[in-house]
Amino acid sequence: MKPGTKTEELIQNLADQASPVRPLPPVRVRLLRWLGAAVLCQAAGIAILGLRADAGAALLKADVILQSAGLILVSILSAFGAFSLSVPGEEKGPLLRKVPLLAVGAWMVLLLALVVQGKGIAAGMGLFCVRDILLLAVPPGVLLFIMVRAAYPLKLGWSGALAALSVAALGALGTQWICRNDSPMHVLLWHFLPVVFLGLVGVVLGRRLLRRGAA
Amino acid sequence: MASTSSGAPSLSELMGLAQKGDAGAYNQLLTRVADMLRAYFKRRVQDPGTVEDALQEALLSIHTARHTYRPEKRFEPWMYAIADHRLIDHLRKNRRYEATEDMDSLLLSDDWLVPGPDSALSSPSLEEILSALPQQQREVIRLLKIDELSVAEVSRKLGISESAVKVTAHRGYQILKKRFRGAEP
Repeated sequence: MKPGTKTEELIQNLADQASPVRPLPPVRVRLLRWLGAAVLCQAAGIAILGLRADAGAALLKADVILQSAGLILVSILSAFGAFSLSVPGEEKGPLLRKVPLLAVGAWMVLLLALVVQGKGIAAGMGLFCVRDILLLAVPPGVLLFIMVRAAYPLKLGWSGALAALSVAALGALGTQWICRNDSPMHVLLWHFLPVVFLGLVGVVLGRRLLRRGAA
Repeated sequence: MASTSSGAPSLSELMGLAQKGDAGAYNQLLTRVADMLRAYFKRRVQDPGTVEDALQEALLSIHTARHTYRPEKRFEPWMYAIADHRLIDHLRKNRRYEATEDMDSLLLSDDWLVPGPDSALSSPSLEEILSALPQQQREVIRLLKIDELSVAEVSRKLGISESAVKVTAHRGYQILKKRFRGAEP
């Protein structure tokens, strides 16, 4: 058989299968669509699990607002990274993957700084917080994984990690408005660590769930 | 995206037409892509067979991923991102496959049982052969060669993975080959 003959046959077969396809919307459009659905999920989740009774007072706490803003940033940056990685050639450099991790690192530094300053070292029990983070993360997480897989992710571990980190941050954000314990040690142990753990689980989930066949 | 200076449609234009279902444009696109990627892979891989295999995998991936290409973007970065990934994937799979193939052929053959001319033993019994091995290797080879179980059956019996069975057997065979073919142990 001449070199390349099988390749030519393959090309002919693929051309024969050339059914019309609709190009995926741009990354920013897909991100906005997902964010819209995710915000609705969060609102519904918080309504069901119960907004904290002191929500009004919490709005006046600088560290609460700062953490909420940080979690929104982590969620959006991570989701943007996951959507970008789902399109071959869209990622322009490793910064896309690293910036969300830096934001998570900044959150950790903030919490440790508050602990060191003695602004709340009682951790308290937080299993309900872990539960709430999961409950709030799963619905937008399923949607995000479906949307990422619908494209063609190549870096499966990173795509899964960023998608999981995004929804975990979202879950932590919602939990912050359910859980009344703002003690930095509590947040570090029962909000921050579950988010990091879910991000790592995302690596495994990405490798298992995001793989697309060659054809 | 503009056509090339020779008037031929650009790859972006061809892909745009292919996304609309134009089989002729798609054929033309894939043919040009195949030529580009074949040259690209040849700069990285020496074996022509590997080049063609990786090329075919890349073409299949391009076909599966064609809905992710945005016509307003350049085609080449999209194409090369897929091609690079497929080449790395292919090379990784091949390394694992070749290692497994060596072990499989050893598992199937019995020629390692034949003593070499310098062997101290003219006709070793199987027990003598196996006694040279550590316990787990002895157990695995006994199950494979004497009890004639399959790799999967040995894996289930011993509670280890099939890869672990092959790796253990392979190590055992290496020791035995050296010992009974007159090489240094």
